[in-house]
Amino acid sequence: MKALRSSINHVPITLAIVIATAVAACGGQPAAAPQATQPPAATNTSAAAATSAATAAATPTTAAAANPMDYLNADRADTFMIDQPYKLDTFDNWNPYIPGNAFGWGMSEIGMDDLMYLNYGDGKHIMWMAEKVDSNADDTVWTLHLRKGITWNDGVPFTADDIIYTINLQQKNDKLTNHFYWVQWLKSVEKVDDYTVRYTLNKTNPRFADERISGGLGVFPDVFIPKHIWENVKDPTTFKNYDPSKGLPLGTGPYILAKTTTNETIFVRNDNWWGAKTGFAKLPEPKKVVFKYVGTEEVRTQTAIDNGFDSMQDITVGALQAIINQNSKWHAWYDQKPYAVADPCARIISINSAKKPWDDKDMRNMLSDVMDRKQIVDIAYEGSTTLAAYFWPNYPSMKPYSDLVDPQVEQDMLSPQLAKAEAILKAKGYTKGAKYWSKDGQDLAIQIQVPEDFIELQRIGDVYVEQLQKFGINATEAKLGAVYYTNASTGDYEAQSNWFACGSVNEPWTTLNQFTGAAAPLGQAAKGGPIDNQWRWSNKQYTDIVAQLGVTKETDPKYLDLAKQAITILYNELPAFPAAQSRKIVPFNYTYWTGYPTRDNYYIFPCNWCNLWVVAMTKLSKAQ
Amino acid sequence: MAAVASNSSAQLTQTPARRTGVRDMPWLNAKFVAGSIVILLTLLFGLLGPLFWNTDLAYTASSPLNLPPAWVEGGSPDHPLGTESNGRDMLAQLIVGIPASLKVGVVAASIGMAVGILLGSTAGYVGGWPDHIIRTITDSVITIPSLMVLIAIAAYVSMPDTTAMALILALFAWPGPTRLIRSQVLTLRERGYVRMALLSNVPTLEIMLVEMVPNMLPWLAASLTGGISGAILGETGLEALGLGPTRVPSLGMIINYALNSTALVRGMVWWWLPPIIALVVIFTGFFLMTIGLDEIANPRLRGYSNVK
Repeated sequence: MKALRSSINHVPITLAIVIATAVAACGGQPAAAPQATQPPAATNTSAAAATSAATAAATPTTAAAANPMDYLNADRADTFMIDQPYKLDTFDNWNPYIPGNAFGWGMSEIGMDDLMYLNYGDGKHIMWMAEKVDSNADDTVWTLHLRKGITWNDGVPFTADDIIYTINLQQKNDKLTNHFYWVQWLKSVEKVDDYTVRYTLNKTNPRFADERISGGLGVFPDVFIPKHIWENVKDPTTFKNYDPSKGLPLGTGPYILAKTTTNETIFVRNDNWWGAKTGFAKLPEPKKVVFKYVGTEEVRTQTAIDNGFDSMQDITVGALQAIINQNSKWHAWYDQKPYAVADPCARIISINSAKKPWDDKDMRNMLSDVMDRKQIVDIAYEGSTTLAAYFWPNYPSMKPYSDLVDPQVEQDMLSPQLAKAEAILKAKGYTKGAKYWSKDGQDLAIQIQVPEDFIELQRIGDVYVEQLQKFGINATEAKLGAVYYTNASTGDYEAQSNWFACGSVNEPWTTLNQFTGAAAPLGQAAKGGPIDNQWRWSNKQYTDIVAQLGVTKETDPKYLDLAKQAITILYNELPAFPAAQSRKIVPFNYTYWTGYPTRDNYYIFPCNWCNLWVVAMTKLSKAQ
Repeated sequence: MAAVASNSSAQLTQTPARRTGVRDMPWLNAKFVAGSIVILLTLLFGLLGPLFWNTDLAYTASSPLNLPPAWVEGGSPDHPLGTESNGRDMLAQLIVGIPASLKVGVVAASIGMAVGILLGSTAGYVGGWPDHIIRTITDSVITIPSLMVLIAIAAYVSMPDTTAMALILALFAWPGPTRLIRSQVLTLRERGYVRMALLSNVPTLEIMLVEMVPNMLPWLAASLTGGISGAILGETGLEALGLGPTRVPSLGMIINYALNSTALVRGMVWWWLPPIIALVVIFTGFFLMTIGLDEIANPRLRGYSNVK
């Protein structure tokens, strides 16, 4: 009993501490609307220069390079701090092929280079390691021309051999990234010379150089691996690729991994970076870059206010308002609502077509009819995104394909169609009881799964569940951990709030192709895309049309017609349906650094967790 | 209970001046009464609240966003305690959330207590190998850091409502009562009335449940109130971490949404403070009840130092 009393004794004390801490952390007044000020102009970049890295070339580096590890002691003014919202669980796994690896903690962003990047701002490519990519008349043979002078960070030249080794390794091993892609598309890959690679495809593919960029994934293989390291590795699926003292993981980017813990990764600048040595790009000014997890959004916000970060990952409207209200050096994409930059991945509600009654397209359409998308924008996003009814981002580059959606269908999606939904249910034999629609004595119910670490998707789920409840469907929401993603693959769900149609940013095929293929059996992992789809929706006509679209040039008169046919089937069947355009609130701190991408200087998508972030790093300058 | 009371009275005959004191009416213990009143008022707030306030406003998208309380500039009398970022009315959330949290605590602790009575009585009364097995399992489970396990379970189990949460919490709510009851049974089984029942061939189960359990009521009640507090604390912890139900508000869920929406740094005191105050009141109420019941069961704590 004493122990019982003792433990209970601590409860009020603990809560008192919580209250005291909370009061201490409280900002006092509600966050007011932000000032409509503009961020300081970049001193060393211009919109014109930004579109082509080559034109932004700096003088080749000739000064003696410092030992990168000396930069571990760089002070705050020479350090760039990047917010990470999640803990790094496996800090010693830097094998890009093992699930849960740590590559996204800086290696993809600043430790590697891609062949080229797509700037969502103007829809143009920024040639990076690639100097040129061209194809033959029927797009079955593609030739990649590499820049000269590219080296790995251990000084070994990066050549066609590394690219071919990477592709061959992936093609031979079905556990490695891109295996199915290469098996489907690639007949052979060969070295013409050290700087030229020739790809021969199984069939014509006009988007070979483009389609993988669309998802922000980079062109060709996402991550190249150094042949001179990996050819000595026995099992590439278990190799951890981690030993900073030996230079692993080895990349070509301007920064080298120096240290990791469960809360942070520290990268130091490689003054011998090939990009600067060849004069192709400016050597980034920050000597040290830290990707740091500090805790909940409350803690992240307070850290940002205290200048503990220079760049943040996606935060909520409330957090942004708190930051810019207490530290005027922070600026978002817009200084007023919607604050955010449009994200390339539209948010959708995925329905499992293998589960009754959702195997019926009318029932799926009914779910879409009930959705009040404006309310989702107003409440789940607090007005920080825009209303749209597409599976793809509402970018200008996608407008020709957005226009293919039947105007009436689109119009209907922008407001709830409750009468239509009721008519569908009545036609299916449902009757409305005191609270819910029911059939054969069973209430119509649906569970919507949301990932517990993705607040944006949760808030969409919260609002939609209430809309369904009000309409008379017993909707519930389940917040799940890692099992959420397993369920998506094995089909253990009725509905999920997610973004899995993601892909297209400047052409329609990538997103449309997500829904093709056979429906994976329940309980069996779906591989995604053309192998089989996670929605368990299978439509042969649709698959055939999308396959045809995949081998048709955008300039072909048939192209838009094929796209329209596929889009019409997709919007008629709705294996998933759009919930909202997504957005990213990614503010930057101008206390120490300037030259960030802005809406007036949109040289790259402002995404510090994407491969393309390396482009931004080369544009930053010290704030005066 | 009757046996204990009469026993105590017999021993206290040496101090006649105390016979008419409040301490001789143990159930009127001031701490127990005060705690009971606090919990009763809390319950009434939740039970009678829906008669005076529209609890539909406790759900997402039912109210304007981010309104401060009515007495603050910008507030509205339609939402006297304000609203939060998901369009929920704070007063309605408290009316729905307080009973929901209490329900989880009561259900989890009751299940734990029921299992504890069964296992504790068996171990204490039967002894032998059943005692060894039960004691070993109980001692093992009690050393497991329950919150960590609960977090792991909650991450994999879908919890559409608070009942599922209560059942999960009940997984770790039984070892405490089991230990307590076993130790009490070990002493009670040597009492005369138990031996008399045994000699009268009263079945074992009847001795355990009819003769012994009623005599442990104050201990059981104290353990139950403590268990309710513990379960509410566990529930609040899980929900504050985002591992609870999402639709029907509970106090932990309100805190979770406040944390996720950075209510602290936004200065939305009206969002995060009320659930914390409600929890402090509930914990204080149960704490007073627990120590009151402890004193009721243990005359020494009421100042009877001469009680053997």
